[in-house]
Amino acid sequence: MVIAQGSCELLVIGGGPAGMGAAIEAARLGVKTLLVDEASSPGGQLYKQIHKFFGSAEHYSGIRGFRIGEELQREAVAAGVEIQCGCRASGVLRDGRVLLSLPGRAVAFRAGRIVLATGGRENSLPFPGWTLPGVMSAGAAQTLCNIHRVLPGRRVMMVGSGNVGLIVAYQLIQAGAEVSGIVEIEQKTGGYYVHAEKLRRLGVPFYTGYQVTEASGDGTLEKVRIAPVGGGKAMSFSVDGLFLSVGLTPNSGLASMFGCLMTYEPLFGGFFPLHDKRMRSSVDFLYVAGDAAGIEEANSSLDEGRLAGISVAEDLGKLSREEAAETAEMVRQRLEGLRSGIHGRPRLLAKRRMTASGNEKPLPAIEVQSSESAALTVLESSLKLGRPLPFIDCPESIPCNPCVTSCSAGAISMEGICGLPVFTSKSCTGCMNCLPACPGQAIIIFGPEKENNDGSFVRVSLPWEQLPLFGKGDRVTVTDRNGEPLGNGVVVAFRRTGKDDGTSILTVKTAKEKAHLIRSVQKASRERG
Amino acid sequence: LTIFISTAIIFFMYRIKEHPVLTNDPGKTEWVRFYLDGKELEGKRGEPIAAALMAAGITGFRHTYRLGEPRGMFCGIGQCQECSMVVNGVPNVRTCVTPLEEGMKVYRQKGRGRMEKW
Repeated sequence: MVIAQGSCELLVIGGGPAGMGAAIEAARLGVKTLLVDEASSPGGQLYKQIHKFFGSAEHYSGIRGFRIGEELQREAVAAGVEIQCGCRASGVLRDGRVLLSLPGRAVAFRAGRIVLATGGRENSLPFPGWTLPGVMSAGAAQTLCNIHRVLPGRRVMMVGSGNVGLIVAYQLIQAGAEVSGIVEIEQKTGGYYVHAEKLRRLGVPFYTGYQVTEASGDGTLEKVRIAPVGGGKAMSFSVDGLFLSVGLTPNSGLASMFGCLMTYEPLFGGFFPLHDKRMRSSVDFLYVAGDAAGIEEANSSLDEGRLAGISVAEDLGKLSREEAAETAEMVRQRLEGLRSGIHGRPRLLAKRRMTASGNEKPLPAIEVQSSESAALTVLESSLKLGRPLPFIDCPESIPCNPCVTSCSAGAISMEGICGLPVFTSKSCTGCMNCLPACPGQAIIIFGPEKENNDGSFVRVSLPWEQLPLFGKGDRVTVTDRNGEPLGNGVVVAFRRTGKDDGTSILTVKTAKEKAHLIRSVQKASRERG
Repeated sequence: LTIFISTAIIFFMYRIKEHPVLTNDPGKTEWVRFYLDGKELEGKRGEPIAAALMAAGITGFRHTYRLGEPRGMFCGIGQCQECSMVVNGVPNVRTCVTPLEEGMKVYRQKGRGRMEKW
């Protein structure tokens, strides 16, 4: 037990993706590493993420969050990281030792280097009735639903349309809840287009430009009132769950205790320790990574952690300056790649401003629109060629490329990690591997119907991660991107992909006429065939 | 009997039984009995007390000191203290991070709570 010895070369505080990244990287380079986490198992919030992750293969893209947590833990153990769970870093002594609290005892621990990967915490939003039981943070709802398998409410509403709000709302539907709406104070949704689209297809209404004016109920939440910002007609909903996803704040308490210079940047959620390109803070033995160094995504946390790990190894002399610079540069470029799309660019510029390495202009805002005409073109060329072709509804430059890596025929290409996918029909084999690989469920495959067809029917294959699971011959109602019914379809194939993958390929035979508008099917419309 | 059936229905209503992605329940489930304000309930051993209560459809966990307002689970990670209850005679127990054990006596907390014996 390293803890009992009272000292160690590197102490990593926090076992989320950032802390794990730092610990794995440092331990692989020969640094004796202790990682502490206050939860009963490491992995941070990865265990409640049941969606497929974005990013590239280095970020475990296309893999569901909880599996990434398991994988990181395996890698850490293999690299020789000592992991101590149920251990809280509660303070800093004047001589620089860290106070570690374990059940029933506390240890003053001396570490040569310390990586702070303490993550972030959810913000709250006060309004009349916000303290009523039934109103809770989106993270709490996600924990109940995905880890403890308990529904936090049957008819629920989500406040905030960032990625957290959108993802949790979708996961609540997967678990069987009914989402009455997403309330967003801004005029447009905040998160990724593909995440919002997954909800729209299921008919979830978005109330943009609205705010919650009151939550009420007798002892527990029963009613929510929302009204347009700046006045207008209020609306009332009967719900038993109201979840708040209104951003996160870096956990920077320990950094302050160490006397780190802090900086303020609203894009990153508020105050956090100032750091350089290689995650070194203003205190010479202290490094920061992940949400504690500014709120971002799990992918960037992982890479920031790796950078911190490399810096620690270099500063301890395990790695020459040149070697360290080379490895770090690779990770840093990947990290900048993650921050280069339409959502990430402002963060890239803010980080660069802070680390004083350049001063570029922000990207102009691009109005993103779903391209119905593009879908029609794909449908028509698939009928002309007589084979299925994918339509990729991915108009936003987000850091994600599993469609490219899933295509062994090389029919999908992309410029950088934040490029838009480009499809060339010539080499496409119609294998459909790209369809379940897309974490955004943005790929729909149109194809000709060859059985019992007078030319008026086509096949549409859709990603499906909901209940019910369909069977061949089932009749369903197909819907457009807003969840509005378009007509009827018959399930001709329902394929569950991979072991425990969770995404199924639902293929329906339907009328050709409006087929290019189809984005989903109604959950409750199944008639067994 | 009617009471028994209705309790059983309420009890199982909030448990997620089928899920398109999470197919297998993690670990073995061991059902244990516990008591809320003297009423017998069932939950899974090791899950947070708060999760067992939410599964039984109970959202109000305590009443505030001054105004007696109801409060329930809020942050779910042991930070906000809103889910504090009296557990086995100890007040201010954060039920969202305290694992459920057989025979636990849980009471809704009024105000700041008081130790039974000190």
